[in-house]
Amino acid sequence: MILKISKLKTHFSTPDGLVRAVDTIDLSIRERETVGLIGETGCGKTVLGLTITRLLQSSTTVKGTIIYKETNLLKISETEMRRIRGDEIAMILQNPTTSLNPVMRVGEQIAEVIRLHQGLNKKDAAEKAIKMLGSVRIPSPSQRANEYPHEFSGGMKQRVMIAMGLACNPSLIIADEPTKGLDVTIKSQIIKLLKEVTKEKAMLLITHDLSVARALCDRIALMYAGELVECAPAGEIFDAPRHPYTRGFLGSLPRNGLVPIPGMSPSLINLPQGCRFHPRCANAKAICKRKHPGMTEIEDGHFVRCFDA
Amino acid sequence: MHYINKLAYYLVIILIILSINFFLPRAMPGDPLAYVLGENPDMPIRMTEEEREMKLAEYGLDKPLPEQYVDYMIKLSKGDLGHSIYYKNPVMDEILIRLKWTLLLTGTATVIYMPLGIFLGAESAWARGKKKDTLSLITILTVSSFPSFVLGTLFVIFFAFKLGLFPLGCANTIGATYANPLEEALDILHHLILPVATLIIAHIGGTYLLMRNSMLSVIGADYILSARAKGLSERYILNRHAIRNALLPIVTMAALTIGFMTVGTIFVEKVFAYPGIGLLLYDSVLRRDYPLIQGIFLFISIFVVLANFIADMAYVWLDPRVSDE
Repeated sequence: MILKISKLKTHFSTPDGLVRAVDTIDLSIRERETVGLIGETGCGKTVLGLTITRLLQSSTTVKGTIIYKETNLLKISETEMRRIRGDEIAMILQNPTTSLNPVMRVGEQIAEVIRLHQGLNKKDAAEKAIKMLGSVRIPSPSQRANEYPHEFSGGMKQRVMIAMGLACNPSLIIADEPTKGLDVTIKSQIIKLLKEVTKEKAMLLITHDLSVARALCDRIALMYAGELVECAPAGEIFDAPRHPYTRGFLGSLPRNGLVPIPGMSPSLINLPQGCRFHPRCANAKAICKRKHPGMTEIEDGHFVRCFDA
Repeated sequence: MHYINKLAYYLVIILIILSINFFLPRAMPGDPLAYVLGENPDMPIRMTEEEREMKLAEYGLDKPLPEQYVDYMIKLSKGDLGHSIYYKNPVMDEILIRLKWTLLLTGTATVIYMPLGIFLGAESAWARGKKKDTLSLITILTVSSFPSFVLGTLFVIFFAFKLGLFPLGCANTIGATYANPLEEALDILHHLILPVATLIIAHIGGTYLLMRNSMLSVIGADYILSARAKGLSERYILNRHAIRNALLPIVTMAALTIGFMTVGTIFVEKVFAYPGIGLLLYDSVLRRDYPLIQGIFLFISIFVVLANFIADMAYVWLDPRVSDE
């Protein structure tokens, strides 16, 4: 087990009320395993990623434990956390266009993380950065390293982000929507690349794109309104989904008929009583409105949060 | 190509400015002759019609406007700015004597207030919401909201008149003889401190606020989060990632203020009787000294255009996205 998250809560206080962005999540990632975290926009998946790397504002309330290898990341100092960030745990943020510094050469943006964590001198770090660009299949990397982000296409920028994340050979990668905004051919190239470069690494893949998850993940966790509703090996999620939300999510795929889930996901400030999904659930029963279902293991390694499963 | 285009663009602008410079002073009511005799403009002019005509002809002011305009442009193309009606000297000489004082005054002030404002603004934004930020915000805004002439007057009254720490005005002690250059430099410095302090305080608020706002928008940017995700320290992120991006809007403002600083010092130069371009312009306008007004306007325009040109170049250097457009 490389990462073990237990009873994790991430709450923000806002003028409108308490936002329960991550509300009691248990999730583990094994060595070399890719776990997909899937959910609609605003369900809290990105916040979970930022909570693990402790990149949220200090005013955020975080409870529970995040054990990385042997260390509880929520207990160590900021200085110790900085040593882990970018070195052991790399985060590939969403939107490569805005996540790369527009006035800094691409090579330098990779080299600086190498200098920081591996103590290489300027020249060696620059060379390693070029090598990293080559490893993510960027053509003529030594020339491209001297260019600025605006000279790269969307797909190429995403490759740069991946190279930046992999620069210090991390054990765990958190990739947030790595294929967002890319057209289909570029998307499949990025998927292929991610598959290749993360073969030996653990990865938490945050996405709302099931096709990406299907191509990359060993296990998939469905997130809804701040909590996990189903978590199982990828094959089971696709072949035998048990939670009505998972089924709805799969049904909304184009090849499954583009049937949308009725209603909207609830606000994280005003969560519904009982099961959080019941207002949108076709099978909702009386108990679903009263009681909040727990996560139950219905088969070996297949967890569902539903009274009906 | 980029540079040549820009250069051509600025040449056209200067040409337009020249024309405006010519017509604007002449649009003012009153005429320059009243002051040639050192008279009050409200008093009747004691000159016969003939004397008047003669005088006007001497300065070429008897000709129709279009003809005067052509004359002016032809002379200008030869580098001749004409003669001051009041001082009788070549305009160029009058301006050059005054220019060094203005450059000393504004140059010193700018070199201090610009980096200081940028530094304080960046630090303030990085510590947003904390005591350090609130305190500097309130202090700088309060002090900077005094108009420069009020502040200058207060300085003169308090530091120069009451305490006698500084001279009441001028750029150096009139009629003084110096034993060595160091003594002269110290005398000039002594005269410089109050007006420079006034300018710094009057201008630092703008730079500080702009840098602070610019920095605040940069702090929320994705690439800053990205830099944090790499494990970089806050200080490193501020210096290497944030400042350069936040400086972009500052460059434009800096160019504008530096360009206009030559006139912006009118109030300060007036209050401290500092013999710079601003004071010269003020006097020339009162005296309707057309050639001198035109000459000063020309110098100011060139300064503004030059400052903008430098800003454009600095932009290319600071923001790699600009050079491709």
